[in-house]
Amino acid sequence: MVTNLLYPLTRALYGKRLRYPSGGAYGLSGKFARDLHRRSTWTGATGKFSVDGWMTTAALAGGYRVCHTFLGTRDQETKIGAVDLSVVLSQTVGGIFHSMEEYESSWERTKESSEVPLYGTAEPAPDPGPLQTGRMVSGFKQGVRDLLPLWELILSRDTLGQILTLDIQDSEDFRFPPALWVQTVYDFALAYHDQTLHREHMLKSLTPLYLGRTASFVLETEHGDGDHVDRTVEALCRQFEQSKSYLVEQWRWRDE
Amino acid sequence: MSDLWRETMVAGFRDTVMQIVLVLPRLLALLTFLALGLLAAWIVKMLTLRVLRTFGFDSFCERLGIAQPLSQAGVRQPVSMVVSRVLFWIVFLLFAFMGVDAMNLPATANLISQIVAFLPNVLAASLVLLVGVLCANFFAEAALIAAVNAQVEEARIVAGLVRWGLLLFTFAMVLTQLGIAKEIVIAAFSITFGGVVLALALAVGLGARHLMRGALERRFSHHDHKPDQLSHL
Repeated sequence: MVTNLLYPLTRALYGKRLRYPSGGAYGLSGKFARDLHRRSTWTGATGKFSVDGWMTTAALAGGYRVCHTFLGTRDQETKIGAVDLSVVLSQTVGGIFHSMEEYESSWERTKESSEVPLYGTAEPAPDPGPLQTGRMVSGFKQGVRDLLPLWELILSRDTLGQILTLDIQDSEDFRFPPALWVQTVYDFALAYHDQTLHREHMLKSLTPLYLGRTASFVLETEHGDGDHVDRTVEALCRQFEQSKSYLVEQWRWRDE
Repeated sequence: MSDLWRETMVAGFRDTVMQIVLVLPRLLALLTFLALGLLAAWIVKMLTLRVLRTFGFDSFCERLGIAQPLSQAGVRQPVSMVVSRVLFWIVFLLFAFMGVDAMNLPATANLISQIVAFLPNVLAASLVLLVGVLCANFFAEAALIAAVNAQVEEARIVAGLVRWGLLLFTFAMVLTQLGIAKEIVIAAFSITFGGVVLALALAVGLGARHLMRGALERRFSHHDHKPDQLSHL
């Protein structure tokens, strides 16, 4: 989720290459902590979303100096299942979309991204083992079959048309192009802004599309080394940055 | 003989003219009410349409999921237009009823008072219908998304069952509120609902008893569970 969605989206919006926007452990300056404490967003709609993402966004949009450091691998006891995935997705992505309303002036004027200081040495992430893409692709197929009436309300005609033409017959050769994924995420952000649907329903209906993109990413990179994965992620991030003008134009057009 | 014939003719003519003279003002009142009704209804319609469009009522209805079922039911117009047209006919019918009442016909005596007495039931039933349709759409959509994300093959069937279950419940409440075939509706609903619950109980009891037993054992047996060791850092 970080690789295909949170990192590229946060980077394109706020212009900082923070590899793990929801790292789970934070060190705050006193000034920033006081700033956060004064805010009234601890309750209400923001309270429902991921606090991690909210703090990161507040720091980036507020112009605070940010850095990141590796603290080592953290084991998680539970694996996220398919249903839990939609809840996590709606909380994290919903948090970013919700912040876009608050920090509109900040992300709209950000054009490019820059590196942030890195402290410590990055440890290679543990091998997650072989990933089963078959179930992800079947989740995507089912979304195309059953959620089409909802996606018609959320996605632009062009985006939906491209999704419907994806070849889903062979799971091993399935590809969800980065440009289409970027357009999909931006359409969801615009639909969230417009409140086209009930927001939680809308965010959860992103799950099959996310599964499709993740399966495609795994299939694209499964035979490559770490550098190949990094290049693929970098290409996706640049796609997010290049297509941002579409998001800004559409957002402003809707506000007028 | 000819005098009697003449008097009868004159009396008949005079009575008919008198009746026409008496009816004419009432007829004129009816026509006036109809004309006024058309004018008032048109004003109400245009005002409603303008106000609803100013406040973005159509996009609000799309978000609530009202526009979609209307479109599926063949109503291609925006919800604001549908509402303004309904108001047009309500206002026009009110004026038409006043006109009919002004005719003072024995068949339509007390028509207005009966309609006014029934109006609260109609309003309550409309409210129940609106809330019921909204709930049915909302929960069906939630069930569809949850089932698709859990990769349940029959996701659309699940969503359809939720939608139609809630709609049936709503229709039963609406008919009861309107007092239409009250006993039959209650009996039919009780039989249907009881039948569904019984079928589900039998399905779980007979078809999935081993599964349920396993699930209950896992849920309630904590023999091997050791309590957490808590200590201060």
